[in-house]
Amino acid sequence: MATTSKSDALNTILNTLSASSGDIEASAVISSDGLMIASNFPAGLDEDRVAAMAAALLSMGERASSELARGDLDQIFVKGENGNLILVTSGDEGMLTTLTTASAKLGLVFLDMKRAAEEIARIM
Amino acid sequence: MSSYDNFTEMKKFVGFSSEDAENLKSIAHVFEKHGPALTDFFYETLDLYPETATLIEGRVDSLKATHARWMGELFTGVEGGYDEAYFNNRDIVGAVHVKIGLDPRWVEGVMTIIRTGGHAALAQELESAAELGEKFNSLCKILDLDLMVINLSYADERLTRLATFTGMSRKLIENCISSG
Ligand code: HEM
Repeated sequence: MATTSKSDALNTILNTLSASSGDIEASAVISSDGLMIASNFPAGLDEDRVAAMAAALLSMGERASSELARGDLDQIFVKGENGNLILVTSGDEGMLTTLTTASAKLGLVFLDMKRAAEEIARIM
Repeated sequence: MSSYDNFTEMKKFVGFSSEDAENLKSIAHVFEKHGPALTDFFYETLDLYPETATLIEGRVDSLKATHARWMGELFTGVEGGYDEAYFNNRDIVGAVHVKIGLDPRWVEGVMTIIRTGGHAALAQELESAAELGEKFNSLCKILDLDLMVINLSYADERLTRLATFTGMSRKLIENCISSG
């Protein structure tokens, strides 16, 4: 886990993100090694598992994007029946993950996430 | 902890001593005599199963030569010490077999041939049951250590390949395994 001041700053960013859009149900900052750094994910989720899964998805996405000559990875978007999972890189060592409603206005969510990811990268 | 550290730790764990090294040196002549037949039987067995037969097809003679070298080193310890030089020679064996797509169970299985064939050869050449017991124990220790190194490098090479393919760091893969 991040040191308290860092952790406070990251939690503030995540809470601001959720407050800025009713479409974002939860969000988390995860290291590229798959460790949860900060999160406001619902209680009851296995955070270690979710963090490892998200990091694995992002790594695979980066590999696939490069293998298929699509350039640097921008985001991973997983659309489920009940909502979406979105991952964006944040600096070299981390990523920002959000869970959104199924009807989320994605353009706005992407924009908010991009800004938050930049802020997170500065802190980390 | 690096694999060589694991190897020295396991040598201690199984009680592999200078006495074992001496025992192995003293039976080298048995394997000079019986080793070629053992090696022949090793490859005849691999030839019976399609999955292994295709991998050795057309190269049995050169494989027999590498195998004979591997077997000889069991009794010399490579430079006598069963140390890093010995370990390095064993460490690449696992990686080489992963590269050819060989399932590890075959390596485990054929080690039994070496063990039982080795026992039969020693039984023919050694005078007393006590000597047979003592020297066979030393042979078992070194074969188990070899298999351990081969298995570790097998597992390591498989993870390295998965890491390269997925882009996942080793730490992330370990996290996925422990969260699995
Ligand atoms: C106790 C088990 C075994 C031992 C100690 C052993 C030993 C060795 C050694 C020392 C080499 C040469 C490694 C090098 O390039 O430096 C080798 C290569 C090879 N072994 Fe084995 N081996 C074992 C089991 C098997 C089995 C079960 C197969 C089944 C097909 C097999 C097939 C091969 C092949 C095809 C190569 C050549 C790989 C290449 O260079 O393309 N080995 N082995």
